[in-house]
This record gives sequence, structure tokens and C-alpha cells, in this order.
Amino acid sequence: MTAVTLTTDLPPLAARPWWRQWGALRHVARLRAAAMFAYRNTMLLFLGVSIVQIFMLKKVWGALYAARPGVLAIPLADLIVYLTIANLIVWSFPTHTVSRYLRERIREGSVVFDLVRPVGFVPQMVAQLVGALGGSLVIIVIALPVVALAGSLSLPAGAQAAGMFAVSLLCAYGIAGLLSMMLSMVAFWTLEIDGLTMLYVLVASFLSGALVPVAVFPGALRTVVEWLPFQATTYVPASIYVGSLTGPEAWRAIGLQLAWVVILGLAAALMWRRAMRRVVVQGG
Amino acid sequence: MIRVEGLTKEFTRPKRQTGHFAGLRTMATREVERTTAVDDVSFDIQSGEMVGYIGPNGAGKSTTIKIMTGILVPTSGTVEVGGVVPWKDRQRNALQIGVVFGQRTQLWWDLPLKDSLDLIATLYRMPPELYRKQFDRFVDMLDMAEFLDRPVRQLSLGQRMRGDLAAAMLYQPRILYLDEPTIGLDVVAKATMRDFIEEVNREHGTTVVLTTHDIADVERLCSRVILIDHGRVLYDGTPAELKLRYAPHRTLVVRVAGDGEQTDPMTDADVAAFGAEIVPDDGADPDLVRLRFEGGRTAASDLIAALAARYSIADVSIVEPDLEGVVRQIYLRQGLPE
Repeated sequence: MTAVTLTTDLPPLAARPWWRQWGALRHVARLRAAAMFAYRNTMLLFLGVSIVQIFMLKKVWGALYAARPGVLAIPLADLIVYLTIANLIVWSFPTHTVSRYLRERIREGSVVFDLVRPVGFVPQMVAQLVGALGGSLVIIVIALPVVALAGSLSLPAGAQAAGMFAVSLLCAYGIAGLLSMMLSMVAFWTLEIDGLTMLYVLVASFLSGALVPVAVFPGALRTVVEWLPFQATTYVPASIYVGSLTGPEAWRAIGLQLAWVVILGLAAALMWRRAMRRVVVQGG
Repeated sequence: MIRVEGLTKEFTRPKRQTGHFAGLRTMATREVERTTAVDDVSFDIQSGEMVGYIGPNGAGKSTTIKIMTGILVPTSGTVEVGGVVPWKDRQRNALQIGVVFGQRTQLWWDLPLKDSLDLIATLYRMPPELYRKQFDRFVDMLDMAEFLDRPVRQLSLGQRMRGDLAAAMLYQPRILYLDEPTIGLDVVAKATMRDFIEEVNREHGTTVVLTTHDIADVERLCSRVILIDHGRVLYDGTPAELKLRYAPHRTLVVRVAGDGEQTDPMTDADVAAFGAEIVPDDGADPDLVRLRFEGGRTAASDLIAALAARYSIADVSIVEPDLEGVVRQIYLRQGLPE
């Protein structure tokens, strides 16, 4: 039996941590964005549904305000902008794209290829999320005139609101990304997450305040919602945008968002480790 | 290059319950079933070797490959690939291996083939000029020019497999795991794949581990066969030795000249002296006689000379046992013949 000599057999390329793999991760993100455009018709269809929803919300809330002036503290015009922004944020989450991708990879077993790459699986998934997000943002920009017509758009409430909105939106994407990664990872146990994804999107879009602002939820429900991460994905940035959440209260909300990023990040890491321990690649 | 010692992998799954609410009870149960997919497997593979890793379905081939690629962690035993323990040092292992799973693809389904190859070059940090050189060469060798810009989902199986093979070898990995790379391909496509694998092995000294159900792949490419079944190694050696050991019989096919003269039919007694026996005839052609003899013990020339002395012979040919037949026998018996 010939012993393998350890030193001379080392591969010419050394392993690198993910933060030194920007080039590779950027490339993955770019491909994911490109792949989204392969399904641009589906994307546009979903965006169309979102736009119809924005339009319907505008009509419903308009009627409600007409019947009961001052039903909410926020003026109707601001509310419509809030709803438009909130729905765009929800629509731009790459939940569906990435969970569908991961589910298919796990079920067919092609996830093996993602696992034998010199770039970690989690960084790859994050890059995919970012790419998917980039792809949808491009589509949103193109569709903006239609969106403005269906709902209503205005500039952020002020310069400070704009800056805070940017920070808050970034946190929101972080939270939504972590949630959708954890959702996708369920597939390692169940192999099937279509139903779960549908349920998640439904519940999340309601609890996030994309249909009804969280501020008007009745007592107990409001407490529950405030303790869940969903409102931090949508309600917080959209409220900051229209200026209904300002000053120290807005900073507190952003701080809470950051806390969610940390908590969910830890939870996702734990879940990932457990998933890896029980990876049994399907088939073969 | 690859050292595997005492490798064992057990899978546990909840014991499936039967009767009422079987599904629910299966979920709730704590009882587990153990199956041993790989059972105390050991082998050494030298740098540059091409090894056929064969066995019937469910023999444990893919499990072994998955352990060697670092995807699965074994229950016990040691594995070293190029000085790296695959599952402990996934990334370093990943940089030196290329993988093809014939039933799956590593290409991006919705994007042109070229996009996937570009990404591979980035992931494995290929210098641009090297990538361009390899790319041109592979496109030429595998004849991929006409479908490079087509989304992978529109490719035929043969085209897709060529793309997958290119993706696995582009960055010149030192070790290549090919899990059924020719599955479902037509004869021409198979030949292209084999030629390509052979050339890459010859040029770069790539170590190749090939699992396949097409024994022709092994005969064409491999100088060594490891045969496993029920997770155990049954045979490890050259294909020729496998044939010699387990199918020593060659067949002499004799066509007796039907020149009108009545010849007595040959009997076992006539040929027994030469250590040969008559293969029972299917009766289709009365002039054709098949004699089975052992290659090592009987010289074919003696047998022919003896026959020629008694009969007038029109034609003679010798049929060598093929590996396919040997392997079929082994699979059917679920073990090696004694």
C-alpha cells in the first residue's frame, strides 16, 4: 500500500473564506438575475397581480375614508403611497425564486453540485438571493409608471426619511432573506415546501402590514405582530418612507430590525448545521 | 491519490409502521431501521489511474462516491483524497475534484450553456487565458459550438451530458468522479464521451473513478475494476484477470463442411480428451458446432488440429468471453462464483 504524501499533493489553489470570494459570489448573483429574466413573463404576471392588488387597496381604502373620514391617523394620500411602497417591497422579495430553486435542487439531488463547490453553500444562496432581488428591482423600475398609476407614488417624506428608509429597507431585505432561507431549508427535512411557501407568503404579507398598516391592528393581534419579524420587513421601511414613523421611534424600529437580523442569522446558522448533519442526498 | 480504508456507511431511517394510521405512526415512531450501504470497503487508487467502480443497483457505488466527494460523512473508516479528508476539508477537496452525476446536471437550467461554463471558470478561479484555451479546446473536442448559446433546458440529453462533462473538467481537476456518465446516451455520443475522458486522462494524468452500468465503458477505459455488491468489495483487479478468473471458458466455433459426405456428429467423447465439451446446440444450423474449453488448459491449436484430422472443417473462430457476460453472471448470482 502506498502512502499518499500529504505535502506534495496539496492542490495548487488554497481554500478561501467567503469574504475573499467576491468575484465568484458576484458571478452567482449575476447569473441568478439573468435567470430571472428567463422567466420574465411569470415575473410580469406576478407583478401584474401585485399592481391589481395595489389598485384594489386604493379603491377599498378610498371608499372607507369617504364613509368614515379620519378612520386612521394617517392621511389617505399618505396611506396610498404607504400601501404602494409596501406591496412593491413584498413583491421584490426573492422568496419564491430561491425557495423554488432550492426545493428542486434538493428533490432532484442536484444540490450535490452546490455542496462540492469551492464556495460555501450558504454564501452561494445569499448571492442568489441578492441576484434575485436585483433582478426584481430592475423590473420594478421599468414598471414604475404603471405602479404609480395604479396606486400612488411620491418622494420620501424628507432627506432624513430617505436615508433612514434606505437603512431600514436594507435591514428589511436581510430579515426577509433570512426568513426565506430558513423556509427553503425546511426542504432538507420534508423535500416539499410548495404548500409551506404559499402559506408563508400569505401570512407574511398580511402580518407585514402590506394590506393593512400594522398601526391599526386590534390590541392582541397588534401585540403578536409586533413580536414577529414580519412587520420589520415591510411596515417599518414603508412607514419611514411616508413619514408616519419618524424620529427616535423610527430609530428604535431600525434597532429592532437589526436585532431581528442577528437573531434570525443565528437561527438560520443553527438550522443549517442541523440540515448538514442530516443531509441524505436523494436518489442514486 | 485516493486511499479508502475500512469505509462503512450506515443509514438510519424511521421504521415504517403498518396498519391503521401507518403514516402518522411512522412519523411519531422512535424505532429506526439500519441499512448498511457501504460495508468495510478498502482500496487505493494511484495518481493517473482510471478505475471502473461497478456493481448492481443499490450496491453502494454512489454512496462511496458521495463520501469521496465530501458530501456524506461515513459512519466509520478513513478516506484521503489527495491528502485531504473530503468531509472535513470540503473546500480544499472541492478545488481538486470534478464530478459528473449522469442523472443530474450542474448546469444552469434556464441559461445558455456558455453562462454555466463561465461561472465554473470563476468559481474555480481560472486565469482568463487558461479558461479561454480550455474552453476552445473543449468546444472543439466535444463539438459544442452549435448549442453553446442555447438554454440548457432545450438541449438534448447527449448535448447536455457533453456540457456537464466539460463543466466537470474545465478547471483541470486532478480527480474526476464520473457517476454513470453515459447513461441514456446513443452509441455515437457514448463514443465521444469515452474518447474525451481518455484524452483528458492521458494528457493531464487525471485520476478517474467511473461508475457505470455499461460495461463497454469499463472495457474501453479502465485498466482496473473494483466490483462491489451489498456494500462489499468482491473483486479488485484488471478486467482481463476478472474474465480469466470468473469466465475462463472460451468457445471454439467450428463449421463442418457439408460436402455431401456423411460425417458422424461430434460427441462429447470425441473432444473430452482435449478438455473441451460441446455446447448444447440450438439446432438452427446442424453444421455449426460450439466447443467450450478452458483457455489456460487447452491450446486452441491442438483442439483444431485434432478436429481437422477427423472432419473437414470449413471455418473456425474463437469467441472470447466478454466482461459484460461475466458481470451479468456475478450480478445474477449475487456473489462471485466459487
